[in-house]
Order: sequence, then structure tokens, then C-alpha cells
Amino acid sequence: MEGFQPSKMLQKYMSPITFLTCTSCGTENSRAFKEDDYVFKRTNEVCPKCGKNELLIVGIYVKEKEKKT
Amino acid sequence: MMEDFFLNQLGGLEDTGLGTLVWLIWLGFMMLFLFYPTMSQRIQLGYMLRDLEKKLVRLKLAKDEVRDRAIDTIKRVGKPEKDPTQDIDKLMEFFMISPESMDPYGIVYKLEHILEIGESKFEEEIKKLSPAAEEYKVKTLANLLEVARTTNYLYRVVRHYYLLGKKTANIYLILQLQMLMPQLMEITEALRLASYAFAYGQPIGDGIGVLAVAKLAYGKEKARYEIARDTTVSEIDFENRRVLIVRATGPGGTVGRPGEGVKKLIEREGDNVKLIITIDAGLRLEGDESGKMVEGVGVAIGGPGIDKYKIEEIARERQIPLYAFVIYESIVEAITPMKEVIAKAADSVVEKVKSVLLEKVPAGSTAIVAGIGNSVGIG
Repeated sequence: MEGFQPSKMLQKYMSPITFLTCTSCGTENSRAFKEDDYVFKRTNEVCPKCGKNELLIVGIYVKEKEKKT
Repeated sequence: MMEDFFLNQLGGLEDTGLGTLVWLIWLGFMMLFLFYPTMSQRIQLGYMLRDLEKKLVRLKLAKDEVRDRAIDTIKRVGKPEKDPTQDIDKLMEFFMISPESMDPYGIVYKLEHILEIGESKFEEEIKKLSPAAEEYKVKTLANLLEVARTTNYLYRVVRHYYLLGKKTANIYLILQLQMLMPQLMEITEALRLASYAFAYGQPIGDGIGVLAVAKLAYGKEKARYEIARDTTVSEIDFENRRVLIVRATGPGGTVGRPGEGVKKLIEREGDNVKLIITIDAGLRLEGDESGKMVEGVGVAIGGPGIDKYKIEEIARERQIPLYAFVIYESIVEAITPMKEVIAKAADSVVEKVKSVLLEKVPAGSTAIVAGIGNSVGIG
């Protein structure tokens, strides 16, 4: 029983992505999920477009890989 | 030359003596299977036990990984003064005894009582272990410990039947266990991945009902209050209709008490309530598409059945129609970090709920929309 390799575990954990919207200009942005993020949380991160520091988290999910056609 | 060759083939190898030996071995096997008919079964049992042993090791690895993650998370989030390992191991063996069903009268309320005591006790213990954790994080940690407890229980049950089957050389017991193993492995793998979601507070697939109603309420809330334990009501106006949105209180990991919440709202609102809509994740069948939304009638709530019972009971009493939306997911998708295809279904559910409200609820009346599921990572 001891000789079994842990590398044979089935699936790999995929960390979700946090999607944010600027409350001033509506610019959508995304970044890797950070602990304490939750949907509809207002963060004081800076908008890359207008520079205001209030972004709203509108979604947290695992982005699926695009299927090759 | 050719003639000699064919004669040797027909006569076997008796000239060399090797033929006799092969013949005797062959006869020995024949006799073994004749006088010891369970021989083939024993060989088969050996193969099956070896296969189960490998899977049991995988289960143990998953169980240990989830346990270690739970200990690390409690240390990181809760900052306990002493090492919580012993207490966590104790909590992993925690149990709840379901009520006696010989006399089924009142069993729903008895079950509710036991589950509430169990939940409170579990949270209380985690609060003691995590003095630095905020209230909502304690709930998510309780979920994480619940995942660890389930993984541990699954491993112990499989190990029990494996050892019992091995000890008694019972092929039928082992066969049944082997048939169940693919599903058990899938559930264990889902639990392993779920432990990541609860360790970091990420929304899971089961939270789609909560996410959909949160989107419906966002920016339109006129009032927000707690109606039952861990259950919030958001009041909104939609096209001259009053909509009471019931959901588990986020962003901590809880499913709340939607049954109790809906019941209290109907008792308060009286005959003004013209429709109850429930939205939940539903297990899809193999071949079904994940994230697909389907609609029907009834109460879309899983779990032990207490919330479902309460809503059905009061809806029947007041003759309120029950409408339901279900978003298809697999068992793995339901308890692991939410996938894009499921998250995007929330928008189509919101649109569909709006059209049902317009179609089935007369202007000036009230409707209740309950988003069912775990609120982890959804504020």
C-alpha cells in the first residue's frame, strides 16, 4: 500500500479569476483571485482607465479553456 | 522430412519426455479446478482486492490532503493560540444521530432540531479554534471541516468493507464495493477540490441560485434584513410588483434557512403573495449540458428536506403556485469553484425570472424569489 504514487491523483485544482468593474467608468478588468474577494465586494483598487479607486467585483469563476475547432 | 514433422506434431512431444510433463501439469490444473471449484473465484478476488487497495490508497491520500488543508487554514485564518490538530481530528469524528422514524409524526421538526444543534455545536467549536476569524469566515471554516469530516467518513466506510471482504474472502461483498468505487472516487475527488474553495472562500457551483438572486437584487434593494438564521431578505420593486428575495447570508459559507424564511414571509404578508419561485443547482444526467437552465413546478431545494417541506406545506395551505428553475451541474461542479458556464447561466436565470414575474404575478401583488445554495464567496 505504501508504494502508490501520489502523482496519480485525478484532477488538478484550477484557481478562479476575479472579474471587476469600475463603478465610475464601467471598465471591465480581471485578475487572479485573492483571498477575501467575494462577488459584489467594493474594493479600493485603482481603475486602469480612469484612475478612480473603487472597483466592484462582479464575478468569480474558473475560466474554461477555449475549445480548439 | 515433411512427413516426419507432421507425425511429430500429431504424436505430440512424447518422444522427448517433455510432452508427458506438460500433459501432467495440464492434468494437475484440471484436477485442481475440478476438486477446488472456488479456485477461479479466489484468483478473481485477488485481482479485485488489489484494485481496491490501490483505490483505498487514493482515498487515504485525498483524506489526508483535505485534513492538512483544514489544519493549515484554521492556523492561517483563525490564528489559534495552541496547535488545533487534536481538536480538528476530534471534529472529524463528530456525528449526528437521525431521529427515530418508527413513528414518523413530527419527524421533520425533530430532524431540524438535531441538525440545528449539530450545526451550532460545530460552529461553536470552530469559533473557539479560530479566535481571529470574522463571523462569516467561521461559517466557511465550518464548511471546510464538514468536507474533511465527509472525506474521512467515506474513507473509513470503504476501508471497512475492503477489510471485511478480505477477512471473509467474500467475493460478493468486494464485487459490490468495486462496482461503487468509480462514483465514490468521483465524490472524493470533488470533496478534495471543494476543500480549496472553502479554504479560500471561493464561490462554488452550488451557489448559482444565490448568485442569480443577488444579481436580481443588486442596485434595486429597498430594504434588507435577516428573516431567519443566516437567511437574508432583500425587498425590491419590479414593474409595480413587490419582490421579496430570500437567500443565504453571504459571503460566508452557509445555506441558511430558506424554508423558515419563506414561511415567515408568507405568514407576515398573508394573501398578497401570489407566487413562489425557487432557483437551485440540480444534478445533471450524464450527457446533459452543464449550465443549462430548465424550468418546472415545485420547490427546487435539495438537502435533508426540511426547507422543501416547510415551503410545500405553507404553499398548499395558502394555495400559492410554486415555480422552479434548476441549473444543471455535475456533483463535482456543484462543490468545486464555480465554472464560467455556470456563472454565466445566472444572467439568463435573472431574465427568465423577470419574465415569469411579469407573466404570473398581477401588478400590485407580491412574489417571493428564493435563491437556494451555498453563499460562500457571494456578498
